[in-house]
Amino acid sequence: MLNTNLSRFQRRSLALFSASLLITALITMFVHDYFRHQHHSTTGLLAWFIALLPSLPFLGTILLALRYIRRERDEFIRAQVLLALLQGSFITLAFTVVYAFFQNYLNIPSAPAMTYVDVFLIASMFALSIHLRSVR
Amino acid sequence: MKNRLRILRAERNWSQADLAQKLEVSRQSVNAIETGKFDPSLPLAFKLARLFDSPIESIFSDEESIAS
Repeated sequence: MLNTNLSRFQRRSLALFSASLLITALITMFVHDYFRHQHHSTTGLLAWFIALLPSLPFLGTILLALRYIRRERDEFIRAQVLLALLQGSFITLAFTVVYAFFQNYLNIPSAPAMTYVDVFLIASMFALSIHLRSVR
Repeated sequence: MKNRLRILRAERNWSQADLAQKLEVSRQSVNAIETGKFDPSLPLAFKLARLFDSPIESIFSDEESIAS
C-alpha cells in the first residue's frame, strides 16, 4: 500500500507489527466480553490482571515500533516514519479532546478502548502515505 | 541545500532505482535528496562522494555559498 519495494527487514517488521496489533485487538475483545459477562465474579488482583492483559501486546507493538526505528538503515524512510507517528499522536490527542467534549456535553457513549489505537494507526498510516507520495 | 545528484546520475546513465540499490536505500530516498526535500546525513553524503568519486562539496552546496 505504501511502498511496493519494501526491504526484507521492512516486510518482517510490518508482519510482526500487524501480528502484534491483531493479538492486541483479539485480547481487547476477549477482555471486553469477559467483563461484560463475568464482572461480578471477578474482583481484586485477577480483575486488575485481566484489565491489564490487552496492554501487554500493545506494549509489544510499541517496542516493535521502537526496534524498527532504531534498526531502519534508510534514514529518509526512518525520518518519514517518525514524522508520521508524531502526526498520528497529535491527531489522536485532538480526537481524544474533541470526543471528551462530546461525551461530557452531548452525553454520547464512551468509545471502546481500541478506538484510540485505531485512530492513531489510521492517522499515522495516512500521514506516511502522504509523505511517501510526495517523493514517488 | 542544492545538489548535482541528478546530473551525476544522468552522466552515468543510472536510474534512481540503480542509485538507490548502490546506496542501499529506497528509491524514494534518492528522489527526496535529488529534489532537495531531504538532506542526507554525513555518512550517506560520504557514500555518495565515494560512489561518484567526487568531493562532497562538488556534489552538495548550501544556499549561502551559492549566494556569495
